[in-house]
Amino acid sequence: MSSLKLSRRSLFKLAGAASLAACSSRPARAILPYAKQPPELVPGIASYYATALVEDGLATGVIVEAHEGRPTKIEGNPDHPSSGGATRAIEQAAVLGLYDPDRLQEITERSEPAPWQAIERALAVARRGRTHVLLEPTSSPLVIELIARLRNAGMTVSFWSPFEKRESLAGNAIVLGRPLQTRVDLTNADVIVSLDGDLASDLPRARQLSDRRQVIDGTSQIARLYQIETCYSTTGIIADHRRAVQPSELARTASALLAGGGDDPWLAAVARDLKRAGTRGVVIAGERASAEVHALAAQLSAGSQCVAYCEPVVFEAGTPSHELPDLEGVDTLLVLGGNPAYTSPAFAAKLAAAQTSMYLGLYANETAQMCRFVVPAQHDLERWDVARGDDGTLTPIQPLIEPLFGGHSVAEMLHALLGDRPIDARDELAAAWPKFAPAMRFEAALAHGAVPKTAAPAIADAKPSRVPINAPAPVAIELALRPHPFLHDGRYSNNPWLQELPETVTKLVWDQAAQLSPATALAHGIATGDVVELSSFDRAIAVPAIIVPGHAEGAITVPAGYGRKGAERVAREPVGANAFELAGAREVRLTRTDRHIELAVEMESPLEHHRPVALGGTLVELRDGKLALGKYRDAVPTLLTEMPRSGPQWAMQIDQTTCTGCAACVMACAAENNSPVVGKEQVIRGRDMHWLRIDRYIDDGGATVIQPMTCQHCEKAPCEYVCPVEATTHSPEGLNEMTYNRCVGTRFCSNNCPYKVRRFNWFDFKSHDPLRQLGANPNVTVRDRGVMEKCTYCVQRLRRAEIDAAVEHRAITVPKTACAQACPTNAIVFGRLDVEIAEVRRRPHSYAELHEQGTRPRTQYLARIRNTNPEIVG
Amino acid sequence: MSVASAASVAAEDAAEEAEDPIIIGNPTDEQLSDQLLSHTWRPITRGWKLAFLITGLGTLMLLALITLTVMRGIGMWGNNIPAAWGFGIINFVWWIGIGHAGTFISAILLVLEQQRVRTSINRFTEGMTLFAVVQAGMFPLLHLGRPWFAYWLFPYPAEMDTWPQVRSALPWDAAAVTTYLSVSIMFWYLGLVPDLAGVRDRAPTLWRRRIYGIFALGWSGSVQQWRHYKIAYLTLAGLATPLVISVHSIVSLDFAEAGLPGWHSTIFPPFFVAGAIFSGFAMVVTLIIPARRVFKLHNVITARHLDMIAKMLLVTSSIVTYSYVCEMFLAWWSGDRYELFEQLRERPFGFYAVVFWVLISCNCIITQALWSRRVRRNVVALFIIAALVNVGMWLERFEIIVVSLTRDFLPSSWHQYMPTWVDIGILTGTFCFFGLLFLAFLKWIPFVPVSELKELKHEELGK
Amino acid sequence: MQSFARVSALFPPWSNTATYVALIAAVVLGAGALVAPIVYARSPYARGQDDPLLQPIAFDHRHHVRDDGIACLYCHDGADRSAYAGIPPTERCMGCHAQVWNDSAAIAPLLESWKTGTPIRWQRVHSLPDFVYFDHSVHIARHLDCSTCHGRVDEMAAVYQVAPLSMEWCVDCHRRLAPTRTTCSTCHR
Repeated sequence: MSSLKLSRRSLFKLAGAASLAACSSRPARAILPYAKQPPELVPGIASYYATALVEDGLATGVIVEAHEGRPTKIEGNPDHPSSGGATRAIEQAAVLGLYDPDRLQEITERSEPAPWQAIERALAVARRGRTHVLLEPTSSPLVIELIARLRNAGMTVSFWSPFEKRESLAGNAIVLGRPLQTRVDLTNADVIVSLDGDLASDLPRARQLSDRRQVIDGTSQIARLYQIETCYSTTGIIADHRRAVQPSELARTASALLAGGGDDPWLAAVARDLKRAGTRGVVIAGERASAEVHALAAQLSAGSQCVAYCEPVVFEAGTPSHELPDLEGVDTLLVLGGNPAYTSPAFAAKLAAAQTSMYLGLYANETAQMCRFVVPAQHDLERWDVARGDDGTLTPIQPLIEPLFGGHSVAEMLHALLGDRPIDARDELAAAWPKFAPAMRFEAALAHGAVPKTAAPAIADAKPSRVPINAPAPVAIELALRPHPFLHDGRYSNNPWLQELPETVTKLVWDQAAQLSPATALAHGIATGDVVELSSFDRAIAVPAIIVPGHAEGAITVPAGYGRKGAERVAREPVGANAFELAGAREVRLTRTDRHIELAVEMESPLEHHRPVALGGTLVELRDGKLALGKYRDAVPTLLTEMPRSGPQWAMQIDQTTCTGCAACVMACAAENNSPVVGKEQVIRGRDMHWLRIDRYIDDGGATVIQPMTCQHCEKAPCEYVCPVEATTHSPEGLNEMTYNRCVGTRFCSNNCPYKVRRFNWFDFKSHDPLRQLGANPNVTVRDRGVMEKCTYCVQRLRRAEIDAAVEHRAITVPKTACAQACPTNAIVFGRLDVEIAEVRRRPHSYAELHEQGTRPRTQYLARIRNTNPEIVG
Repeated sequence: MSVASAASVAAEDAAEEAEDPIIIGNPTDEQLSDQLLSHTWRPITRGWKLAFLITGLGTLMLLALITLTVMRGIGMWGNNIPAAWGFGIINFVWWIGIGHAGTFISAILLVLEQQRVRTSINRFTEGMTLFAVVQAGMFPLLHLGRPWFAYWLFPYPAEMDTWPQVRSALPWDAAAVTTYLSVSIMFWYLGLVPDLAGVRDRAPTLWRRRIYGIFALGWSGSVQQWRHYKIAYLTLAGLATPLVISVHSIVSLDFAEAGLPGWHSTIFPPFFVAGAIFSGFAMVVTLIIPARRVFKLHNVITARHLDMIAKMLLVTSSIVTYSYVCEMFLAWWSGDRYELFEQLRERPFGFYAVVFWVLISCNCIITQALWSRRVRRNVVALFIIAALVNVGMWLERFEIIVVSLTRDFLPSSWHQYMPTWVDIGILTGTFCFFGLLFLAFLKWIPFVPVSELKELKHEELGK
Repeated sequence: MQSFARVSALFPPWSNTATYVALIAAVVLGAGALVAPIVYARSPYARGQDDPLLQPIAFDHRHHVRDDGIACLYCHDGADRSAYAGIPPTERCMGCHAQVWNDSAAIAPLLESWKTGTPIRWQRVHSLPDFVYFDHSVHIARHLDCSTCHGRVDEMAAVYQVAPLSMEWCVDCHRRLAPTRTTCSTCHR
């Protein structure tokens, strides 16, 4: 273009004229390069940092993906023993918690904005008076040092978290003489009896268990798992034998086991199995089981090679300092983290009476609302700290991003309380590091995310004594107050991802529901959705009920985390009540009220309707060839043309035997693929947007099977040929692709999908909050309304791996899909059909879902194999 | 009823009908013209005004709800996963089915037999077809997630280098419906030309004559024009004939192409065509009985006309009933567990069982009354039966679409479908819009083909 | 005949011609309405080709590339390893301009950015929709020259878009050079 060969002066003229006439069809879009680009950052290339997320003082090591300084995705840190590369749903959702618009954004005094100096002044006063500091349980050596200094200065310190390790330590104190921490290792376990154990949320144990339960064929020697529990848990789902009992019945059951099973044939068979396993048998108890159960479990496991004891990792755990304080004579109360006003209604009254109170936390929750001074805390992804993993492994914590709202850390507050000069958090940690971990340099530890060989040593002489344990008597209706699997004690209640994550057994989202068995419900005339009143003496709460087949008779399970009254908008949305109102109550009165609530249950039918859907059988059947799954595998004739193949042939295998249904994959998928949250109304309408769902079926006997269901990437995909605009097509690598920007939204593809795994944007579901948008994965299109979407096998990861291989002129490194990467039990395996997947697909219990439809899915399943005890019938 | 007795009744009927006139009396050409054209220039009465007002308001509501749907998203409707199609597609299939009778009567009867019975009612039914297709045509567009990209369903040289997928029934559907609409318009308009000229020549005011004159395209009634007209009309009829069959066959492929239990069936094309003609004839009866009364057309739309339509209803009802039985039998014969569950368990006894039993009553059982000549000749009875068939055929589409979708392979994905107020409002709105168009047609357009009627009269009386 | 007389009374003689003209116009306009957007979408105007934008600094590639011999990758250093070629940070400009031309009025915004740490707001010349995932690095790794898509930037006073950047244009090249990479998820995910 000749007119463009101009001098600079005339260019200015031309450009000026151009801007006046605005003669371009394009909207003006600016590019803002860095003024000073950080040396480690190249725009467009994600960076990964090791850090940790802390819950009740215990760290889970994670690797955080960041794009141009924005953390967008959390993965487990394979080098951290508490993670082993896996995560729970809670860790996966932490990114959304970081970008939460409801987080505290400024320091306030009596709800009025205040400067940091006001806090310093208040702390200076507190330093001289009678001051109590209430912390969350901690394992940070940095904070422990400061606590010692506080106590020296005459201040009192205690710790509180409603669901921290308490019963296990108390139980061990009974039989071991002091509150030691139980350390379970299932690597060599043959028979596991779990008394209300929650293996699914214990990532290392879940991995060990799944390694011990790999079915290669019928001759595989796999561990046998018994689960005795009140409420159907994910451990109950994977158990070979399960029994539902009242919470107090657990202790009686354990006593009976100790006595060889007594006259209960089921228990006698379990006891014999345990005895046969010798040192490879183990009895474990869940944290919600009572101290007596833990004591009995320790006695039952005496001599087992799977159990050892160590000093508690959490500072002063199991001691009286972990009870809520009596605030008598205290002038100033500092609540640094947690939400005691919610988790202990009794404490709330005392808190309100405190002369001066100060709160450090992420939200304007119930406790913050009662305190005079409120200081925004730093999110785990914003701070420098150090903590220990569940086994004691020292874990450095580094920030991914500057505090979004200028938050403060616990250490910073304690320093201010002690009158120390402000110190840079990183410098402080780096300076103290050689003390904590002399064997590993600070920078190396940061890069690694954990310091090896710092686990708490086993105490060799800890042998449980056989002191007699008294079991409590049964009651009519016993209350089981449980942490919610995703919302925990309510601390994650403001996370919409977790609110909309279906609970595995009930499939319930957004609302609280008290679980009870069909027979108990029938006896009280209760139907699902009826609001029931639970009362114990003068305390009562009203919650909707949900009937769960397989729940214990004469018991009612109420999850915590609801009935939130803080300023957090999402947490206030669900229907429910504060279960902590009934904390400590064992027997409750159950009465039906006239109110009824429509619960958002994501699966309408719990039955398989005698269809070959989630297949399974016993190990013996597999060995004897009675589990003829061949007919669910072989190719079916098809009229559809063969697709051209080239490149790696991607495939997935999902093992129903090891899958616990913990839903970490569902959350990981949503986080990786920018899935929107739609809200309760839309879920009730049948418009949830999860690409991956955990199907659960309950058979006539109340046994539950689960099956993670997502796009099967059919080789003969029914969705592809019905799309009028070819928005869904087949790639040469065997992916069933979905091109959002080509989709016009006829939804014919979904109608013709036999698995119904496609999701449609009925409205503009995407977030318009600029803060929330920071957490989006820039490598995945944020879908607009009116387009179909579905699992892509994380095609953005595949393309990234391909491009990296091409740029570096090497063979491709097989990436993991988000679900496979998060899976605590390696139940999801992703890879190439002829390499990574070849062996699992040859196993005798591999099958294709809806095989007879001729779809030839690339995702296939390993049937659920139960290692049943031949002595137990049914 | 035994076959023999049925045959004897039919023979009896035929004998009586032979005597039944198609035109009552012997009106002159002038009289016919005045009777059938004068309503176009007579002043609008209060009743008409009220009717226009109601249908007009309903149409405005339809526009408002369409705007709401396009602005907020298709989620305003009750659709979900698994029932990704709902009221939108049900209404589409129902309206397009109704749009079949017109062309069937006009074109097929013209081409096949030169049926004289069609003469008085063909324009009327063509109008009905056209307006029904207008209603139907809205839905494929509206039900899209992104209706502004609907043109991607048509083959055009896109700068994305992309084309529609010919394996999918939907681009064919888009083509079939637009073709059908354009041929229907041409066929209807061509037939109108001589009568528009008639109004032009008789209307009392100049501006009326001018307006009708423009649309009459200079029709003079010369022999040459009549010759060309006849050739063109027959050609268009010939073109329209296969369309009657093809449109609903293609519509049926929107379902039959899928592997869904309840959809995956080879009998769908003839089944759908029969159902379409069935519902179309039912709608003709529903509309023509009041129109005949209002315009006092008993001499040109006679009991014999109604009787013939009623027999057609009986025939198509039988085909539809046969198809239902076939579907169930094939489900049983196939042994496919999903098909069996859908056809023999969920449809008759499931969550939406009431839909099944109402539609069977309306489409298969009540129509049996039409064996009786007395019922066929009873205007009120005929009207009620036809109205019920309309309901039944709508429910049949509900059954096919919703019940199949909500109960497919994996029980985990089952989810109930419930329409929203927007769904119901849009369906009601289409009734009003249809009514508005139809009223305007009745009021200002000669809806009985006068010229053909005169021709027929001369033929009949000339015998 | 009677009707003939009526017609002639209703309409003047020229109405026949008017009818033909109206019919032809309807056909032409109808066809035009179909063809015009198809043609428009392919026009350089619609695609923003050949249209130099007003930049905050009149940066002249001719001078930097031809006269000074600076390679593309010196400034756009993400091109061979990242999806984005990258616009150089102020710091990199200052690597030279701290010494040379540091008193020129033309680079005043640059010095301002360096002083205040605020980025320079360049106007985007090559813009792809958000649903297109283009990756520079793999194209460089496949030995495509920058000028294949960006034209002779070394001859441009102000950079303008040379290629149409339409899907047709992308796909055409992919079909010829990388036939296995024409599947949709290559660019859309």
